[in-house]
Amino acid sequence: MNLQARQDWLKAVRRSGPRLKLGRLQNELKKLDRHGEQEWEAGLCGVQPFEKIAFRVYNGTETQPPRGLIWDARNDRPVPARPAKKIRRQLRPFAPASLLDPALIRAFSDFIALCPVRGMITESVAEKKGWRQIGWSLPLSSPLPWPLFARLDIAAPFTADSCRLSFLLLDRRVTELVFRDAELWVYFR
Amino acid sequence: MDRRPTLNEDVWIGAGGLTPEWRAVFSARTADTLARLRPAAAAARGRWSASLGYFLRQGGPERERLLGHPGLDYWLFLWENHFTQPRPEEDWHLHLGQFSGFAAALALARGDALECEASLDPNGRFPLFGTPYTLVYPLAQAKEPLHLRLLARQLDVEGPGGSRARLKADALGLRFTTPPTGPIRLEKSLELSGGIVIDDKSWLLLHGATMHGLASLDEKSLKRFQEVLATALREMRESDPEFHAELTDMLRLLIPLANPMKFGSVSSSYVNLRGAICLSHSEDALLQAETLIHEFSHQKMNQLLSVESVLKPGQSGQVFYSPWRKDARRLRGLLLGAHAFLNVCRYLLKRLSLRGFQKKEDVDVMLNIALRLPQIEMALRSLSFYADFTPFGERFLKGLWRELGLLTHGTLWFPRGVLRQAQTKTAGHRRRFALFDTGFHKNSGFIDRVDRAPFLTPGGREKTS
Repeated sequence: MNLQARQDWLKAVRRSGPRLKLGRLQNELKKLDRHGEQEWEAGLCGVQPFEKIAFRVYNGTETQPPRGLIWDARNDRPVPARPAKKIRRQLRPFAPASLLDPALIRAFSDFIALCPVRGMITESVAEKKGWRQIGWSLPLSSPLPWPLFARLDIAAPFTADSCRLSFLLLDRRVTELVFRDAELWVYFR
Repeated sequence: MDRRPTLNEDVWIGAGGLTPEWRAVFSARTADTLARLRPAAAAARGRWSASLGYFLRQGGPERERLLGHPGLDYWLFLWENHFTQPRPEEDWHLHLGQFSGFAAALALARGDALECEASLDPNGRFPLFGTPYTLVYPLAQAKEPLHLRLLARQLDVEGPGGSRARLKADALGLRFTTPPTGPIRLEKSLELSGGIVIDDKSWLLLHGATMHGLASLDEKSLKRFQEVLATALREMRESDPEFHAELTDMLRLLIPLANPMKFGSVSSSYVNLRGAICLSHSEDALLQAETLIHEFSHQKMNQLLSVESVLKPGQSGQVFYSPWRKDARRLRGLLLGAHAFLNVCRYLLKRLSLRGFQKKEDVDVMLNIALRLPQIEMALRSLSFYADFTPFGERFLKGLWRELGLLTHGTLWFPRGVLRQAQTKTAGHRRRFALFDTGFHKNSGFIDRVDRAPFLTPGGREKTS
């Protein structure tokens, strides 16, 4: 979404959830805006009551950490970013069997049969003993409209508020599923 | 090699009768049941191994029929769920002892020799599953062991307190050859044609019927329950012999339900009790037929789904508006609902044409059909919008749409007022529970706060809820 679309979307978010505190968000986003217009993606975290919203520049490469922020709309402040450490991102083929748990293997096999992915991006942080994985994500081969994402088993964290989210997201397209700190994020544009 | 049968969607959308395809899908189900029984037989030790071992060693049409019995479905469900956790010894004895009801019924039908242990159920009963017969002991002897000996269609039973009985099966049925020693009764359940048993007492069969309250009918009420259903099936055979053939081939058990709120009908069926339909009594044979068709359609779909997924897996988000309910449903629910109501409407239209459209009460039937068709359309619309289907599933969906189109033609002569009333009602339901014109469900309490751009009126705003 471009800057205007981002602003319009934030208006809709504000109206849909009167208790969401977004007062300082615009200023924080402006700090991140660079010269000229940029393409942004927003992200929603699948943890009720859906008070964390992410924004990022979406045309980064897989190996560069996306630039953006996560907003805590309950407390009207950014979620503290990770301390600046060396972070490594790698794109590799995604094999559901690597998840080991039979239920996860089945769930993700079903998911990629319906919704092919470009691979799996792992995010690791450098520590004394080596690299420690802190998250992983599945960038979709083709962006998937939100209504078609909502029907999937993998969208279960969002089911409880599917009505409001559908209203907010309209036919926006999901581009990536991000698994971070035991939370599922979906990014869309 | 893919051993699944080749499927013709027309047979599964409407009815095709007892075709080779119908038989093949049933055989796939019974083969799966047999495969699930083998681990149970391997686990059964000592006194419990005889009945399971005997059952597994047999073949033939009698065993095939028992493999499709809802009681065996539920027995396996309990085996695969309840007994995955540590359970008291008496649970194992009860469960394995109840299986002997299948083995004994099979041995009686075939005239085989079998000696095995069995258990009375928690109500003091030992049903011979697949037959209408049950041995009934005093309640105080519930869960007690039995010893069975069968040979040449004769059954000897040694029970608690030294009780003994000898029974013989012949063309007239099962009966005591001499009076039993001890307080033992032989009960025969009411049946419908095709060996469909009405059962309101067998513990194993009733244990899985959890959605609604069970009815406890006296003899006269049970008889009336049977008579109305017999009329419904007779009329079904006249109107739609292929559907009737499928229904009576698969259906083995009817369980009476209570209807305390006096709805028109209360009914349910279960994926782990295939071949059983639970329904309340009604004096209206057409309503009972409608209920049987609705529930059997679900069972038929579940039978199909065991060999063909129709919908690609992974699409179980419970976010969709259902025209039949207030709460959100899954795509699979919309598929089953559309299929069931299409078959109900097809049957009702056939009955209407046979009755000549003269009677006043037919207006109620017309209203029923007129209500269902836009509901089906809404469900099919959502399936078309959102679902990914297998190749068979895509043909199936197209076939459902086509069937809906044909039925719509069948309502051309309905009074306009009937059609308008139905449209108003379905539109009202949709306004309340659907997210505007989408196929998504609208949560209760959802309020639309987003401003729209002014339309026509300068400076105006539009808000809805």
